[in-house]
Amino acid sequence: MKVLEVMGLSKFYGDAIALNDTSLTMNEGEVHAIVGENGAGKSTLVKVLSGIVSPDSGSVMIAGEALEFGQPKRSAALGVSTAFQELSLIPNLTVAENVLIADLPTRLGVVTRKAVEGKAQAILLDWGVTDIAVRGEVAALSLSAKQRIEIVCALRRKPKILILDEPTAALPDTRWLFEHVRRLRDQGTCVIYISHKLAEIEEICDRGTIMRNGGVVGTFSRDSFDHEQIISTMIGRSISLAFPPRATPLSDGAPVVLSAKKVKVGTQVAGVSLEVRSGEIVGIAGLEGQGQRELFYALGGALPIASGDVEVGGEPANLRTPRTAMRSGPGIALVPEERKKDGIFADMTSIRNITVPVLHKVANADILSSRKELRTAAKAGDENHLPKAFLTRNVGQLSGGNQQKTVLARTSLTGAQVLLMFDPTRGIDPSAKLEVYSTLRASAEEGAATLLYSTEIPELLGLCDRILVMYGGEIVKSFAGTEATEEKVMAAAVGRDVAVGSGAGDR
Amino acid sequence: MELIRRTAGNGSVRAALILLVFLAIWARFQVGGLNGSIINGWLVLSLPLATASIGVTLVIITRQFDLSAAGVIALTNVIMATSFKEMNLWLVVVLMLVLGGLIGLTNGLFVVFGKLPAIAVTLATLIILEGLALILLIRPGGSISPDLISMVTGSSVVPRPLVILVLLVVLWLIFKRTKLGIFMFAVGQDEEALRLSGVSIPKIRIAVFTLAGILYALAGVFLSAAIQSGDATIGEAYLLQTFAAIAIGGTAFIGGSGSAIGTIFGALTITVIPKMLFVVGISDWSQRIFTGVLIILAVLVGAVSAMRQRTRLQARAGEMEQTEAHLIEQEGGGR
Repeated sequence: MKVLEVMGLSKFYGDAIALNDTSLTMNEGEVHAIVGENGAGKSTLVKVLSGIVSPDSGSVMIAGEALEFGQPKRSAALGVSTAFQELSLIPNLTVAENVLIADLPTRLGVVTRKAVEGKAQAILLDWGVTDIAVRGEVAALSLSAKQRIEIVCALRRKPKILILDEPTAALPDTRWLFEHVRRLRDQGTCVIYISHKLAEIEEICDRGTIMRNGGVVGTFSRDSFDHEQIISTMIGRSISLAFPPRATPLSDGAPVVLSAKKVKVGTQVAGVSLEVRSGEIVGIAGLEGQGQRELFYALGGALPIASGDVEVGGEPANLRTPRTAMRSGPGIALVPEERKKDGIFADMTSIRNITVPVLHKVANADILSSRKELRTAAKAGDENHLPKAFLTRNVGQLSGGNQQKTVLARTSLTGAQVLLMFDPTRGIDPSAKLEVYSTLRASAEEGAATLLYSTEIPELLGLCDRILVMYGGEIVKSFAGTEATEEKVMAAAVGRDVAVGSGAGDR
Repeated sequence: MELIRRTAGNGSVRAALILLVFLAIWARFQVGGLNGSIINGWLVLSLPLATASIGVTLVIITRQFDLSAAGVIALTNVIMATSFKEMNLWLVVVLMLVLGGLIGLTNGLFVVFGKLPAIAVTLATLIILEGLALILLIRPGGSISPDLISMVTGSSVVPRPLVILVLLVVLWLIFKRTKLGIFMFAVGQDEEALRLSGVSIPKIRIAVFTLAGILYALAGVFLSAAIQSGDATIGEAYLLQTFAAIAIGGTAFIGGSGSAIGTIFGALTITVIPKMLFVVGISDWSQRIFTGVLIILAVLVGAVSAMRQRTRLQARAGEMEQTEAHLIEQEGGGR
């Protein structure tokens, strides 16, 4: 029995495609995996089904009824219930209040603690959670306890469609989850199981759908489960891009410019050590949320480092703020993740966006010289392939690619010798990508030490001298640029090499 | 003490301590000591400020702003001083509360459905309402029903304003445990998480703005009884004093936490400061400096305490994580 029919779903964010004419069907009583690389469209699909995001076109039928988009309540009424990856718990409410948040029991309009706690306790027991006190605040729970509460909130509705988005990201023990997933499945629930962990998928899922670039590119079932094939379908045969070759080989004697030892950041980065030499481009690969963002931001001075040592140019780096990072030794510059949020001043011209960190250099006796500023910006813009015509335009009006070139021009002006590039080509068009590649290559040739994170593995393969793979806040694998392949990097990124040791014990 | 902390919040306890110290100084230096009528006078003065500040507190807990309190107070004050003289007093009061509710509702609708910044919307409301009040009563005057005055300001056995304040505290404690009360805190802590949980955010926001409007109107009624006449400009002082009372009361301006009880103590503190300073002989002009410094200190202590609370919770989460890791290790070893 079909319970979910997705027909022609599309969703665009500006020029970025999140979902591209996606269609799929799912049945009652099956556990259905959705796999794909970062940005393949899984999360957007989840958000559409849960009523968080409205698609630009397409329709969804749930048990024969059309889903009205954009309203979590409508989705819930049709029997969709979701355990979100980012967790939808309110920190300062108690566990009991969180579990019952959508239908708090009242007597004469008042929510009595006793009633809430009694009801929540019964629900937790029903779903086999015995070690979490319902009276405590959620903020005092461990991440895995929070994740279990989030999952119970979704399970307890006995939904027609249960969506589990990376349910084991913070859950070391999968037995509890799988027991209850099977229980619901046997009662006819369709469970959509989104995970990067193929071993888990093989264990729990009946069928699966593989997504890439917002569309469905393959399916598999339990009988035809083949790790290698799933990974290669996930990656796809990406359009081969011409990567600018290295003009001079990296000399063995090149000095180490950036050196990090046992760096810990919050709970996300659990002791990372790495070195980047002058002229070297070191790639960081990893699935979303493995600590790479925190690592980059911490090295750039934008997040506090909990422990560990960072040296830049042989001296201890001062990473208290991005400004001190920039002034440490030969300088560290961060090109941040979300261009629109962290990277640009949308309502200022490209010129000012480029010169903002070096305004003191384009001034005569502290009064800004427009001529000097223009000259400086034009030169930096040119080196970064930013067309001159765009210099005087507000950056907010430019395409993603030209915005990014503006950011890169700014970075190059700071003269920093350590470049932290966090996904610099995300959401920009192919030709702009090529120009960004050649900029990265050029600054490396001039001696910059570059740490590059990209969600696109081929980029790392094409540009990097070494590739480090992050998983669960640690570097789990290191490849020389020549020995790395997409399959190997992906296998390390989905934790296969690690999972063999710890996860296999469950069976 | 732990019970007080739990029901009233840390901020409230601190505000109460500040208030007690100031009260003690005032009592010590007041010529002839404090008597019932002096205390009652002070409470009468504090009641409208406390009531209005509770309204603003609700809005701030939802992580929004509301500047319209002073406008609603001015408007209800001049209406009560000039109109409905023949009507039943209770009916007039209910009418004022409905008016306040409608104004709050309008604020809420503009903020939620117009997607406009609350600070701009409520600033506009404030200016419009003050203008309306001036049109109705250009010069201070009019009269207030003696029944209302004795009802709000009387002090037969216990001062009436004290009775009303206690009543407000009781209502607050009940309200906190209603769905709206719980959602009000939740929306201020994490609006997105609440939305993902399938709770309607617009309803909560609009309801809280409306409730705040009703409280401002109630404050206007109390103020009318206190000054016994109408004055279109009397509300102006409330624009800043409500926020001062909230800050001293320990409600954080970032939303998600706060207490009407602390706000009441804050309001009482704001009104006791001039009296205390007067009896110890500090001039009128220094009072503002004193109040300003006090607000900074209160906010600072509040921020430090909030940080410690966060650290404590994180530490507990950390402990839980370690226990779990330990358990997993043990299990792993057993298999």
